Amino acid sequence: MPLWKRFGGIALVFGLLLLLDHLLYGPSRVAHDQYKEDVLIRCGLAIILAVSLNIVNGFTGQFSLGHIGFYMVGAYVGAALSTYGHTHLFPQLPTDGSPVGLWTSALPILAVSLAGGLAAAAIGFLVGLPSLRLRGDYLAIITLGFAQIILVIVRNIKAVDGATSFTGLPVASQDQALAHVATPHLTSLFWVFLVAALVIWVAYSLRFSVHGLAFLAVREDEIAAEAMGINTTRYKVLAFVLSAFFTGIAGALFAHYQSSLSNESFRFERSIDVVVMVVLGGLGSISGVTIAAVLLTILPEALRPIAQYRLVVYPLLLVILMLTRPQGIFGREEVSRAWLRGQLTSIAGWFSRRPDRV
Amino acid sequence: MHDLPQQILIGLQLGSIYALIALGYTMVYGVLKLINFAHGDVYMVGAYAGIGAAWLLGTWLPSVVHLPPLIPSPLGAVLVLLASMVICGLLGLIIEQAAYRPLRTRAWIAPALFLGAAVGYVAYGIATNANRTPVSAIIIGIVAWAGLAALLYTTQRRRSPGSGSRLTALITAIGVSLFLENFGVLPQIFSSDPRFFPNDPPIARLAPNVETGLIFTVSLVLMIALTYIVTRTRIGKAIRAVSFDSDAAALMGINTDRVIAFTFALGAALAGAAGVLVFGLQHTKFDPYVGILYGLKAFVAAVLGGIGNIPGAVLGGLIMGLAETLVVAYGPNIGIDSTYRDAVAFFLLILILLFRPAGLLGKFAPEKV
Amino acid sequence: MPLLEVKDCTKQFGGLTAVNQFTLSLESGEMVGLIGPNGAGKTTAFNLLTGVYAPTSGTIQFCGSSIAGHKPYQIAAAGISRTFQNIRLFPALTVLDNVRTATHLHYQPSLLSAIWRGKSFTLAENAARDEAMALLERFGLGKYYGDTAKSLAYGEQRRLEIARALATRPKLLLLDEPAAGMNPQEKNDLMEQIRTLRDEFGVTILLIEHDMKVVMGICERILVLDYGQVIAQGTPREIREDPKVIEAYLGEVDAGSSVS
Repeated sequence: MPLWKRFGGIALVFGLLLLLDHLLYGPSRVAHDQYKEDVLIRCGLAIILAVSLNIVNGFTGQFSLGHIGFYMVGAYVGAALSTYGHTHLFPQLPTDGSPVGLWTSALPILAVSLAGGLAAAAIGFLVGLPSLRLRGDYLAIITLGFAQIILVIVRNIKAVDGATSFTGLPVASQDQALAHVATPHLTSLFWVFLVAALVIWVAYSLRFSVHGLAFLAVREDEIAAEAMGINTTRYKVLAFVLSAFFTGIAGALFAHYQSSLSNESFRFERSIDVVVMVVLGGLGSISGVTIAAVLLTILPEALRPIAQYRLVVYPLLLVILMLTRPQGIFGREEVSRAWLRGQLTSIAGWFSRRPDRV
Repeated sequence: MHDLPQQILIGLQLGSIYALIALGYTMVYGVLKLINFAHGDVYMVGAYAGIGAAWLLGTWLPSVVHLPPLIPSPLGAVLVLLASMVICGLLGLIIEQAAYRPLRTRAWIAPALFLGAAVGYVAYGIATNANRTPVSAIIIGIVAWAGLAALLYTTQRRRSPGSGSRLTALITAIGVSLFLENFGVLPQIFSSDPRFFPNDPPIARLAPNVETGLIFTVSLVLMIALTYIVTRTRIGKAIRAVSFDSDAAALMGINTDRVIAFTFALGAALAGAAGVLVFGLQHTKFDPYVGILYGLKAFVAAVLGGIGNIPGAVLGGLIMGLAETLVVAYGPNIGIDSTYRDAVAFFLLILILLFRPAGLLGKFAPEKV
Repeated sequence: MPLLEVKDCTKQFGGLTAVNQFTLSLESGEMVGLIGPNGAGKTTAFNLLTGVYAPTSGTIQFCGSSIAGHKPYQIAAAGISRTFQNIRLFPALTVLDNVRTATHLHYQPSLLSAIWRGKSFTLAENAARDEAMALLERFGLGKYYGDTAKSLAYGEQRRLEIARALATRPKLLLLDEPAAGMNPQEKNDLMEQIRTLRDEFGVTILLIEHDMKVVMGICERILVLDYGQVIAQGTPREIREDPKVIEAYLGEVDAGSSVS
């Protein structure tokens, strides 16, 4: 890709996000609606989670059900860093949890995101290496098991009040003014969507490169892939670690958006939410899971009347989807004219009288 | 803390419950190679079914017939147990017909009926919440039902049998499980309030040791009955054949669909029994989410023994129960907090999957290259 | 130095000895056939050579160094490639992508460069794509490059598998029943293609096949396997008349008959 195109693209993304940030938080404050912001941030986080899970479940065909564990690790490690590291690393940040401006939050967010991401990646490596020997159902179950263990372990870590809620750090210090250091509110739309754009970029680049082919080959037929010179173990672990890394970053971002971290946010059911997004969007389709992530975050908000039934509608939809369209919206392909044409052709086929012959 | 024999008894009792539930997982996996995530929730329904039956026999019936409880306590308890087993067996059957079978075959009637009913009811509920009149809400519900039925008819018609992948089945199972839990939580169904079996006949409180012994004994009886069915009857032989090689079994003239349905019903009945035994005899509290943890642990027990292997499920269940009880009883002595109780199961799971994925009694069938 | 030197290789699965004292020596450029009744252990021998199984005993030397017990991808990197008895393509990938996955061995840009997409990355990707495309053209599959592999006809799928195997630039190519399921015309075409493969790509070929016409037609040397053991080795003519071979295939026959 020519240099100008590449830098132009990056500059464009940055520019758009800065504009967005300025509109929402800047002095002019054109539009600031706390509720809408909340939904948008959750959309962004969902995109990061779905796209990174797609790398493992979609591209490489390894069905992981335990990614919530990495989310949790990223969240707690990030929160621990910013609160415990308050005096030495981030003295400039407010201790009461009030929102932090864009430029002040830049370095801290980088630090906590990297910390959360790397910690999650390390755990991903430890979990992935033994687990990825297993196939299909077994892999799903063992990742679930690991996630539960992570949950239990974190619950028992007093340093982050795992059992209840981590609202930051009660500091017993000489200076009574520092009686409580809250997790700084660093996250904003800018950062969340910047990371989302980054994850999408990485996913696309990998997918349409020779490495992407290796992932896909592992999904299609591991034995044949190995016979053609692809180190399947390496690629499976790579996909796992990479996706754990980004999931961890999302966790750190999440932790610095909430005023408190409770382990309720990390139950197994939350893992299923992301799995539903990936399956709905189409295992292996980046654009598909992105759209599904946004859809599944916004829809419950838009459909307030069904609030009580939402938890019932979700799984019912899942079952019906598996029966009627298991490949999800996009299957394995990306949004494109060819895809659209294909869909229109098959819909036209519905109206033809001949039943499909087996 | 407590004496060892006591702990072992408790462990065996817990283990026998795990074994009962694990049997359902293992049998279904044997015939379908599917992990039935929804199985734990059948156990939960069993508890509710038990309460319903107990109320029916102990409260409603006497009030209607105006006589003192004419069903003596032990008989009444057995009836409650049987009632729960029948209801859960039916539930298992419905789940298989409505959610799993359509993935393999072109069947559309059962899914259209049951999934449609669920969708219709939800649509009715949403319409009511959105302040529609009862009549229009009912109509909306019926329209939704019909709509789904039509959709399923068209999609099932164009299915090529055997095209469902295992991943699809797994996700479907997760969906059914979540549906059962969250449907149960609805205020008009079971609601999320914790329930207890009442202390009245037919299931009154007994001495703790009697309860423990009873649970273990009844479980044993059920497991023996199951063993008899699986080893001495024709249908049992068919189940074993389908577990071993479903294609060959079909070629030998076995109606695999019917065998699979029966297996589901059988496993579900056992889970239902477990639900009554645990919550009925021990009078512990339960809510619609109680099946998750128990189900997961029982599943681990099945994997421990070798999934697909019936004696393995029993062995795995007992080991699991003992391990958990002993860790809780003696763990604090070596620094393991009893809050780690649930982690025991997952720890065992990871150990077995890493070192002996086929399970203690299972055989690993490698892929032919 | 022979290209491949297998000495007394044995593979046991529990009580079953699938391959027993398998010995084979291949010089570079040879065209050798491996035949035997069903279940004789031919594919198991292939699996031993490609690292799918590790031998219970014996040695396997390729280009002078031992490969016994190595992982399949390492053996592929060393220069041995194969096709499979039951075709193992990547069904959902396109025809071109199927071959491109195998070019992976020789074009390995780093992960970071895949994301950054610098000049070296683009050059490598294009070169790999061109190489894959050329292989497709060579096997008459060029026009299908964008179709999914599972949409191809059976004979074309087999050819695709061979094209994919060649994309790894192997020194030794193992073909497992390449003519299975083909009609006589397709078999003739295949024979032609395999004959020229050796000269065009400089590969040594070891092939498993049941169709005697194919085997006798292209192989210079044949090994016969029965119950995991090599019972005969020689030129096609010698094998045709070897009584042990005849007995293995047909049971005891009078002297004077031959396998045709």
